[in-house]
Amino acid sequence: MSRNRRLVAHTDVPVRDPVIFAFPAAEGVSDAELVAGCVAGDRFSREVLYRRHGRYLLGLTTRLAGNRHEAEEIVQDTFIIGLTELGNLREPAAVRAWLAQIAVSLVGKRLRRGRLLRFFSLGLLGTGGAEDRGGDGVDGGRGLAGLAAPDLSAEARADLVLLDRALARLRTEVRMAWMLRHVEGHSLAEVASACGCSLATAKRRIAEAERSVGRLADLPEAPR
Amino acid sequence: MSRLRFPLRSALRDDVEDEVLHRIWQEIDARFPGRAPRRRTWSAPAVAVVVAGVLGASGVAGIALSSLLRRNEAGPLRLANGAALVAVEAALDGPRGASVALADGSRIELERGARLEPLESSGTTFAAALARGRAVFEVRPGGPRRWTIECGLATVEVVGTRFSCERRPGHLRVNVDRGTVLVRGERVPDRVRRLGAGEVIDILENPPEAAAAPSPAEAVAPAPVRQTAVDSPRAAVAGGPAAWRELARDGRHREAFRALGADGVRREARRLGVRDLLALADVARLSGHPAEAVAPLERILGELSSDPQAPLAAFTLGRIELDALSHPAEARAAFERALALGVPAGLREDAQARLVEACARAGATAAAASAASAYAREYPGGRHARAIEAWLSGR
Repeated sequence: MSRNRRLVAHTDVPVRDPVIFAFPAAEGVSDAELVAGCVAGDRFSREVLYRRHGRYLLGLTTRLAGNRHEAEEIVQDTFIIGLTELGNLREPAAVRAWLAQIAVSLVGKRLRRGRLLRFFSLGLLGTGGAEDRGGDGVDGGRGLAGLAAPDLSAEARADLVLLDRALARLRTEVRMAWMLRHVEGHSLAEVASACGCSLATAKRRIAEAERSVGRLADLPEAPR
Repeated sequence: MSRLRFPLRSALRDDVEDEVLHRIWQEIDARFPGRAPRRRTWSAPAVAVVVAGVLGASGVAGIALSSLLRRNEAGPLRLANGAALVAVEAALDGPRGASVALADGSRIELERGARLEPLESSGTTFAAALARGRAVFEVRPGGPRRWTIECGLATVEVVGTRFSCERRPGHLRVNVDRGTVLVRGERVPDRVRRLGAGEVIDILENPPEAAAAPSPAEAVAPAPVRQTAVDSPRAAVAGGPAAWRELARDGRHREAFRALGADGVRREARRLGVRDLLALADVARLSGHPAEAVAPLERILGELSSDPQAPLAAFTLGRIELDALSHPAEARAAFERALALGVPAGLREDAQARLVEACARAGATAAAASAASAYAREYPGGRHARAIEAWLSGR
């Protein structure tokens, strides 16, 4: 009673005297438990799984796709695929990495399909698209420069524009591997996992990207 | 030497809005319409009843029951002890207000004399009416429910944040401490305002008209909160040279327009920052000079389009061009820009619908049909569906 305030309930309902418990809510449920719940068709588990990993995946896909609206669709598709296929997941505790792999694959497919190529091809055709894309700094489909933090210096923003331009010239799988490594800061093993390729292939792709990015964007080689 | 630091993620914005996440979840959730049975140990109310009965009146009962209820979070929102949430009133003559802890970790504090009445509660929605008084809402971020607080003069929508609503006769004040809320209402500028941390909005039922130009002393004097539409950080107290800002902040838009002087809006529009430009547009629009509001909004979209408020500026421009100036072609461009810039989730449906209207009124039949298809895909059975049909059929 000491923890309660004086409450006067509505006249047609009994006065409650709530006792406050420490309440761990969904934080106390592991990913593996959530996966089991999802497989059993539990809606709460699905939603908690989404709430736990959706924000991360939306940030990841936004940076990879360079476009928030595309990223929203990708996250939606990722969870629809993921929740449908969860029964095939071998390591339920690794569901986050598994969802990321699906998301990365979907970003790659979209890029390859050309749904975003109009942004990148504009730069190649010399219409000013790449410059504009990086220059106006909004996230409606403007690559990394459009996602620049507000306090980033003008010079760094200019570098991001150059980087966008360089990345636009790379093959999709090469670009994705480089971004996972040097934008997201993933380890090589994580890059390989997200890209669904071998460690050697991931290394080769990143090295290929670094050669092009360093030459075209006039950036130093990224740290290993 | 590069000016970038690796990994680059640290140099990029990472702002993911709760509203966006919630909207995505709704789309996902709609694809899984509860076709499979719930896991028994998580949801069977009978188990909860049996367990509670076995444990009887022991102190463990409440904890066990609340644990089960916690797992069944998809149901109605309850008190932290598992009891149903009912109307709550903090007695005016009590020693202090009321504090309500909820099962999802959220908390509501009612000041003395305040009354809150639950309206709807489900696994995805919690709606309540603040009948009177002041209440502080601390909503657990990332929670499964979208909160809606009806406050008479406006509705406040939120997913995860801390904010307060103070309702007095003819006056509503919404104050955001953390996160973001959407305030909707007929008396809210543009019918909707997005409030971030540290921002406050006051809404009056009957804002007095400015009868005459104020004296200089009146123009710069701090005025009590008593008018519509304040949208500024509390810390931003303008000084003498910014008289129009003070007036605008008090909702005295006609006086603010006069204080700006001849061609004042255009002059100021060339030099101000985004927040002031939006205020400037409000002054022009709400003082009956909608054409003057175009310049500050176009400057945001031209030179300051990286600002997070740019999509809102584009949306506002579209409404002015369409509703006040009858320039449907310009309105179409503005709504297209708003959508391209990423208009806030709470406005996206409106923007898509208004795009259809603008195209239809501009005679761009094919574009109108295309925009209508886009709307139908994204918002099947949306609230503007009938209006869109009417626009397309020329009614």
